[in-house]
Amino acid sequence: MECDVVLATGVTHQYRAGGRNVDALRGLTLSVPRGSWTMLVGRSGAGKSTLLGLLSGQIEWYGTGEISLEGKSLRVLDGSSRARMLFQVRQDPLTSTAPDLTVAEHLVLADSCPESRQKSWIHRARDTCFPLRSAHTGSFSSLLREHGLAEYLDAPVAELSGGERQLLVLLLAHLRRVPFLILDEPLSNVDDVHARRCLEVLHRLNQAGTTILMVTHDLHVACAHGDRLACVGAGRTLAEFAGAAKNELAPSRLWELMETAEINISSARGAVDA
Amino acid sequence: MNEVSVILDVGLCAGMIAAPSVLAMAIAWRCLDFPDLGIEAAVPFGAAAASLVLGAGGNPMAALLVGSAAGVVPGLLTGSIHACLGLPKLLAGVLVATLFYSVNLRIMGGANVSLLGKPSFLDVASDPDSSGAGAASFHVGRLIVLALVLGIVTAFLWTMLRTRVGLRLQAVGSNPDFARSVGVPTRAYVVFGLAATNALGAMSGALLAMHQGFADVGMGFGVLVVTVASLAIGERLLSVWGRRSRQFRCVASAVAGAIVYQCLIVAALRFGLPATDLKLATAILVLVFMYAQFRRPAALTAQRGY
Repeated sequence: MECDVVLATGVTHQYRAGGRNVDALRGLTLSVPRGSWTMLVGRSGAGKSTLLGLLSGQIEWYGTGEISLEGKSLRVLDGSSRARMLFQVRQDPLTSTAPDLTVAEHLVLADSCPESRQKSWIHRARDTCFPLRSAHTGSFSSLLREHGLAEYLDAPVAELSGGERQLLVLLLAHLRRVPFLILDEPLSNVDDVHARRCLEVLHRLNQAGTTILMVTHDLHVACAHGDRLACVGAGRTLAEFAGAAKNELAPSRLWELMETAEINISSARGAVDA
Repeated sequence: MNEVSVILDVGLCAGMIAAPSVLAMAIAWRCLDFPDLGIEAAVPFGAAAASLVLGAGGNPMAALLVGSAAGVVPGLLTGSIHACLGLPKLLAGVLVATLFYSVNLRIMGGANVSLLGKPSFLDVASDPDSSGAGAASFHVGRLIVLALVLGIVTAFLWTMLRTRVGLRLQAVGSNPDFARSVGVPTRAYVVFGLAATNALGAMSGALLAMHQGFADVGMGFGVLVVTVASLAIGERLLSVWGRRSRQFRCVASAVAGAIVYQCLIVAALRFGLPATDLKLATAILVLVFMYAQFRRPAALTAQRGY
């Protein structure tokens, strides 16, 4: 049987803030099957971003439990193998792009499979020495034209608006050809037009076989897109929906779920304090 | 008229000798975002290595190559101290500069080594005035050799910055998170990038030792400020020259800045600036140009890409 892209069981994680330990994850369990588009929802502080941070390697993991990525334990994965396995899209596209570099340079750097690989050694050498020249003649300009960014090919990324920049980050994800994409509230700083374009790119990537794990606060987006949904609260998984249950899920039901979980958690904490 | 030609001759010569170290700072600081103080170690270390080769009766060309290659050592050290031990960039540079002061003293066996009477790389082509045929005050032969060396180095760097490796280096400097996300091993790029830039600094040191006829342990002192001043002037000059690629601006502003700065200094000295006030004048120059640069509207700065 094919293994899940992410399999997390009983994951705990603490971080230190203001001189005391804060439990970010308290036994979170989650599975992301290959080829799925899993939405991750929950209130602020539920542990969504912590989980993504652990997966991307931004946060070092000292907690208990087990997380495996493509069947390999997260504890033994190094940065370069992570970069081959996954690509992270952050909330703020400023942090995912290099402001000094041009759009063409970003595309060249992200392109993990230059077209010239199949060609003769002269083409390969030319592509290695003058990658920007082939960027202009190659498929990059048509890719940008398709997404309304054609005029920016030679512009520094600093000239792009927030929405355009997030769209560019998703195109970079497309060019990286990684099997797994993690997104941390990618649409929260993006206008409606670009949000729709971003979702189109995500649908296309998912149809091409890319597994997606996306954190979002927009419950309408969470219900309308993706084929699985996990709701987390206070570092635990509250509920998972897949198939027909996910398709029938309404934002109001999710909202209720998160609200009741909050009441349960606060009453449990009250009992402990008493 | 004669005064102008003397200023141009001496300034051009000093500028082209300093240009590799300014190129080193342009790449380390502007592309790799690493204001590398270790350059103050690389310059005398390159001079010391070159003087060692010349002292052993070596070929001046070999002395230049060995001197440049020696610069790799302080670069690797600065990069490793920052990338592997996690020390701040400036502190890593200061440590290496301090450490190499003693190393240079050991290599040279004293505070300075005279290279008088030794063959110099710069005198490969004979000067017309040395044969007594003309009244030209230009050291044409020396300038041609320097221009050739600088031309090769500049062309190589400009090409290199546009390759995949060069673009990755700039990505590491601009946003290491982005570089990591597209699979660039950022630490390795910092370490090897600094090795390359320090080799350029050492090339300046080797050329300077052969030009002035001695290697001195203190010749690296103040190199950082001089390179920053040259870079600031160069960037200001290039900013009026329309919209060019970032790589071209980086390389061209370093070379132009180095030459213009040295000509300005020679002119100031010829017109009566006491040599003791030189560092004061340089610092003020840096201040003025940096202020002019940072005062520009944000939109223009973004367009420049720095």
